[in-house]
Amino acid sequence: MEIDKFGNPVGITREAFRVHDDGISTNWIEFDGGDLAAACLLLASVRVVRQRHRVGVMNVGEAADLGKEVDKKIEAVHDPIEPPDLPNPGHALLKGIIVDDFEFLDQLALLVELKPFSAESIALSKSTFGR
Amino acid sequence: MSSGALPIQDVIAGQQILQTHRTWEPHDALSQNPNPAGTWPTLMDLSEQWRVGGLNLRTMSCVGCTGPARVIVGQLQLPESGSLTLAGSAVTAANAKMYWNVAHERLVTLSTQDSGTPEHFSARKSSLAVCSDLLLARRGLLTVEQVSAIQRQLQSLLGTEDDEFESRDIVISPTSLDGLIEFLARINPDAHPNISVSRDGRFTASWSHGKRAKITLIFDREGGDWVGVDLEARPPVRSAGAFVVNSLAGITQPFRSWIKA
Repeated sequence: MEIDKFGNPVGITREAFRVHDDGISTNWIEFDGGDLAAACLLLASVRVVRQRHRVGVMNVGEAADLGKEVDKKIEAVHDPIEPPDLPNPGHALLKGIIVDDFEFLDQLALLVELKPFSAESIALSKSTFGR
Repeated sequence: MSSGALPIQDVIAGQQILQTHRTWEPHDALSQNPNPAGTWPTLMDLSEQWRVGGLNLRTMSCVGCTGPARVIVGQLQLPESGSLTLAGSAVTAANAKMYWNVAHERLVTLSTQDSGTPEHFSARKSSLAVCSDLLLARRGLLTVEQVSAIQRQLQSLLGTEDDEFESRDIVISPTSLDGLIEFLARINPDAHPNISVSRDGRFTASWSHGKRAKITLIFDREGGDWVGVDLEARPPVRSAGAFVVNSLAGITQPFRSWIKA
């Protein structure tokens, strides 16, 4: 994350993306009729979330439009993670981006808006992971 | 503020931290061992540069000193503990700080005291502490506002590094921070940048130009790489290249003007 002069997270770099061979690992906010608060709770159930952490929000349509500008087909695919892995029914993949495509990842990073996790999310993570 | 001639004492102080930080390579265990009585062999005076067992040491000026600090090595336990026993005397200062980067990137802080009494030090100094010390040593190059801002940014980035950077095998580069500090001192940007750390441990500085346009510099010691992205342009623009810390010449327009008009 990028930190401003006051010590606050304000943006991300391309390295914030977890790019796998099959796409960038994300969570679908509107999964099952949910919203950002519900998505944050889901994230907090599958990974450690802290006060200073942020969730990055990106509009899939904007990512697809950006891809069109450079002849890339960007699409989001619902990819729920099921047991025996830690279940994440809202998991999704952003496809069409390869690991070393720094140029596009630099551009994609500018589409991300950071939001804080709710106190409820942080408490859930702490109770789940003990830290 | 200083932008042209940099205060020499701040340059030297920072270099000492960096020199010691990058001098030492992973080593074998020290060849000398304590005698059966548990005392250590004659301690060695380090006049210039020594290689003791597998450990390189050398005399250096210390932060806040006006002359060289002399250290005497007694024991080094490697690789994991990184603990040192030493007797030392700073020639011109009662207290001095020096840093040795030993095996496995472990960083050891040695504080020499004038007593010559052997002291025991154990590993390891956090990246936040190393970077904060470097910033402190270089503070004369920057404005008070810049130093305060970087302190806050370091704290936010590295304050909980133990379970974040280390778990991802990221080794923070103070050399890179030094490049960033020197850049800020020499260029005096219009606004203080946002700061981050790359996956290879280098510091980055970025300046936004509107909501979706940004120039990012990734620092090495003398310069580094830059990436500029403007999604508000049609078609979107992305450029990249190399730069040196004392000039913006390597950065193309319009990105250069986002740092300093």
